[in-house]
Amino acid sequence: MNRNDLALRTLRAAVRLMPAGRTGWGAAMLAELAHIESRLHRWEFALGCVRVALFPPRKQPLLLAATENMHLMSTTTEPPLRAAARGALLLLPFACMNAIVANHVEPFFSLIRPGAHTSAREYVLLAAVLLLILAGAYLAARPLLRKDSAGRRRFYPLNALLALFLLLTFAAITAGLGADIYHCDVQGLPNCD
Amino acid sequence: MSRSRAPSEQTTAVLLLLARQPSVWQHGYDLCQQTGIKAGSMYPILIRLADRGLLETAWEEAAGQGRPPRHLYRLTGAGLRLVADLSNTVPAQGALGSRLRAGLAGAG
Repeated sequence: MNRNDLALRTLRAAVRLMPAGRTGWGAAMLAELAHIESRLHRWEFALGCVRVALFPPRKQPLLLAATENMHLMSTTTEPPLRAAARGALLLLPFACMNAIVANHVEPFFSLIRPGAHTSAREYVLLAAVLLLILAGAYLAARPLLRKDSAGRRRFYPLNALLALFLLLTFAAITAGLGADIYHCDVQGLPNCD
Repeated sequence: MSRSRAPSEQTTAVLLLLARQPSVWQHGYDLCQQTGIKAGSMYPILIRLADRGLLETAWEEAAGQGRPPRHLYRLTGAGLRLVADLSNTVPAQGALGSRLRAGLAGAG
């Protein structure tokens, strides 16, 4: 091992990116690399470890991590305007998808709807972008739910209006699409298209 | 809600190897060589086992020759119990069953 050992430097760079809770494992991989003599085996070992350093196993199940992130989000002190902007941005995926489907924008249209009719993939995508609108409403409303150091909540009109708008948009689109799907796919009304 | 999944074949191989000599500390690279598992898969396995309290880790006292001390691994009591439980759940026939029985024989 020398100072110009590229395998070691590569792994060291990757280990620096590891999350705080995993740095001990980064040190373990670096120490182990220092004991491997063969150049080929050093590279093989180092590249495997780089992958682990960049994508280390999660400390907890995804759902639990997401729940904790939600908790952290609700206790942050994000400025109300930024929260509103973030919330509004989550309307964009639905707007984009709607524009693509309505105007048959290729190649995206074929990806969303590979066949002649609405596919299962399209329904899943639609559900996802609709849920993003709901998430946007939550993001926009978050500053309203926050308490200051005195335990009081403050009112931010822009955030309240935007959250209400996003909620109504979500409700209107979901109700409209739901009725459409019910009439066409469940009841099988003729000439539904 | 915690889930309890049967370990993968690679994880089982690592568990078996560690169970052969439960009191002996092992090195990561040696485990890779003995199981044929690459480092990119071995360390996630070790990390998960340690997270679940099945693997005990320690650092060498001194490595010498100007090299850093290495990380050491051995099964905890819970890890050994898991290996014992696995012996009741894996099929009697097949490669995994044979390896498991061989691992348990080595541990005994």
